[in-house]
Amino acid sequence: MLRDITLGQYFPGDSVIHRMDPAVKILASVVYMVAVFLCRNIWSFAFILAASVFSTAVSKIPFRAVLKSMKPLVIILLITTFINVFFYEGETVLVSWHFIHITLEGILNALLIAVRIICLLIGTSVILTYTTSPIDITDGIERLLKPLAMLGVDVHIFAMMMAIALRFIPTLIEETDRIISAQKARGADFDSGNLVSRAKALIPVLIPLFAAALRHALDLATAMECRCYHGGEGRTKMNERKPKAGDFVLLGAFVIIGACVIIINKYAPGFNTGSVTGA
Amino acid sequence: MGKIEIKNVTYTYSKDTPFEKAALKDVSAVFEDNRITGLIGHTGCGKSTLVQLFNGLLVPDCGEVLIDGVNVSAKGTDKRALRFRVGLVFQYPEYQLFEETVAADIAFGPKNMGLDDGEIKRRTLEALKFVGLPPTILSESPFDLSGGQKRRVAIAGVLAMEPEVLVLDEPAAGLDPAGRDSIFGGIREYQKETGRSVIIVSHSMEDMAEYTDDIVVMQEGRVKASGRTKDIFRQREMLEEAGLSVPGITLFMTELKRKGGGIDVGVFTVSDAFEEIKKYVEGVKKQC
Amino acid sequence: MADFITLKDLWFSYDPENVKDRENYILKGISLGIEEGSFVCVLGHNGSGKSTLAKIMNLVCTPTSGSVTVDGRTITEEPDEDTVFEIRGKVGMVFQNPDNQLVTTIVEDDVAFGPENLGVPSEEIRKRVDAALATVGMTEYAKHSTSMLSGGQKQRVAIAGVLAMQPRCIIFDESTAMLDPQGRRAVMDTIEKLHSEKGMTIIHITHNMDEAVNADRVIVVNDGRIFLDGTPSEVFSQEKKLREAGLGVLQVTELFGMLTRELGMKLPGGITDNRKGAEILSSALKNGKN
Repeated sequence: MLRDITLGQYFPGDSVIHRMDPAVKILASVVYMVAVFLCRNIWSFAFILAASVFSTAVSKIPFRAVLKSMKPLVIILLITTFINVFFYEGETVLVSWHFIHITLEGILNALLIAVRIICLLIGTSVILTYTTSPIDITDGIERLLKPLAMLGVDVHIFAMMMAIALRFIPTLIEETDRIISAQKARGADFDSGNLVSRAKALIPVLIPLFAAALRHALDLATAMECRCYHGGEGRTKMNERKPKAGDFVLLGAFVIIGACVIIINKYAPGFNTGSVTGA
Repeated sequence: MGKIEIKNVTYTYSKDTPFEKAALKDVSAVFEDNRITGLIGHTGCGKSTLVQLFNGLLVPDCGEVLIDGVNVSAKGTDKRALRFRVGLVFQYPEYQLFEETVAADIAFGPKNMGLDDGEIKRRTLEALKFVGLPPTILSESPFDLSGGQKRRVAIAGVLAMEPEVLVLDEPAAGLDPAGRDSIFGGIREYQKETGRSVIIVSHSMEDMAEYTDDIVVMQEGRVKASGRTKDIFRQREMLEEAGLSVPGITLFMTELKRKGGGIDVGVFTVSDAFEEIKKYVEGVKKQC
Repeated sequence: MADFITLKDLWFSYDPENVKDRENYILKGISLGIEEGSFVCVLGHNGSGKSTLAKIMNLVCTPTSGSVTVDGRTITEEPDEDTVFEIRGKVGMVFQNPDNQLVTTIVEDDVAFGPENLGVPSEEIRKRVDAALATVGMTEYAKHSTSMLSGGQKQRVAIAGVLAMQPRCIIFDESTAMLDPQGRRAVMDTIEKLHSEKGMTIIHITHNMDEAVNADRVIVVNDGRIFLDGTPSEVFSQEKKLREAGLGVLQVTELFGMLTRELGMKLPGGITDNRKGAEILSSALKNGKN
């Protein structure tokens, strides 16, 4: 069933990360991502992994949920691991058979790339999507993009469109579910036949869905007008967010993580993955 | 023809996820053939889930769904064929219309059954008759019709499949009193004329009292009671426990009895209440 | 009290250019005054024009001819934006479909939407949102996602969203039509509370007869015209006319009608209350005995 898909992965909570200003959080997650990409050796990877786990603990998001979110990544992880293990040109050859050479460097490299992908996911989800409601994310984006207003871009409308889209995803999914069931009840067949006939079978779903989306949009537009909506001009906000000192302290913490990575890269001895482009 | 038996059925949404929700818990019930059965219960009691088991849209986690004694929930059952035997009209069915003309939309189900044009035509006209629409409407676009007409067209689309069991989820939701009466009147006529089974899900106790023969009451994923309509509406306390009520006229008659007067309160429709009072008045006259 | 909304010889068509015959208009010469602080119920079958009437009152539609006056301000043709917002700030509107009027994903953000549009200062919005949520009894859901609420709860959030704009009148455009009995009861309780405790002017549009029994005044619209207008008992005593307008009556009213017509009993018309009805009928039966 469509409605089984977890949408908007937001986990409401009250951790330090939850309370952080969303605009600053977006910046922090960018800093974090850069830090992950800067990692060059085992020690810096170990450090960033530790930092990710620590952030998760601070956010109070259950580890189980974070692990579950990785499920769709398993295939990507397997493929990159496979490619690196079998095709990496290393020096310390462990197994050699025809054109396949498994090297110690290859295995290590595969491992580090996997860690990199995992860290990216943990980091962005814990810092941003799990701890920030979609509406706060759009609010953060709106404020970060504000300078664009000087170029004549209507940032408010853009943010409002995103917010409404987010709001209507669950409604439209429910609607789709219902229409599919209703047409199935009239004997519609979505599961057999060739590609063309399958595409054709979707018409009885797409037309009512399109009509529904239009109906929602028209009704919502009237409702918004009745609540005096007239764009961003002269509009105030209930939660006028201004970054507080604490937000910058947290952002500073992420900058320090990035700095640590650079320092570790430079001074810690060990295996270096510099020559590989992975994730 | 068209008797549905539910035996120890359990159904859980989003099984094995954090959003797991048990909708039906060990439900057993019988929906007798050749009559109108009402399925009532508080929102979220599982009645909408239950009706989707009848035609295989949902498959029970365990337990059996039997139609005329044959288990249709078993693996390997032709689910599509089952959908033609049990016609399901969802809530607000007008939102599923999609064809260019009313005729084509009503024909969607029968076409999927593989019927020939002549048969489809016959069934379309008959279905239109039951929902009270003129044949002239066939060439119109369903999107140009009024809300009430769209609803009738959508119901006709399921009637035209001539299912052994017709299931309607809140068929009169959002309609005005005249619209309600005509939809329910049409359903009653359809049942009487065809002798097929009809199951109606509704929140309106007044309509249930007026139009059903049997009633199944559900509460929190379980069947709380079932039986003849008049026996169910006698159990006011049970219904209130289930978050339901009795028809307004029953409340009135209870009030009247409290004021004195030997009038039977087991009355659930206005015409029965009238008969009851008439009997009482005539009885008094005879005494004089 | 003075009229808060006045309609004068109001005609309306969505397409007046092409609809030449005024008999095909949706509203046909409606004149009507809504008294400040009153609870008015507008009844009518689907397509009778009752919803269009509501849309005229807060300028979603503008009169084709005739005028609408809200709080002393008269509108006869397409008004400018400032006037529209001024009037919508006084006359709020709650619609039928609970899914189509919430704008945001979080309950309290949605309630804040109206005052935000009006440019109310942040702290003031916070106060209004909290007060509005308390009035509709949804305080504990302030941080919840709107998509997880039931239909009745969504409608109450929509009411809070209108309340936060501090209007003097709220129009409910079939706001109970898509709800289950529990949701409907909760919304009706809220409406009655707004009327009796806050003294707000309420215009409730519906085709459920039982929702009209506690109104101060019932107006029946049929075919674009005012068909009946009076107190609930005055209107409900006209069973035949109500049926003609595609409506019905409550079961107890229907029973009283049958007893009067067919048994010749002398009973008052327009009874809507079970207890009062039982009292009247039982004494009538006892008198018959003697």
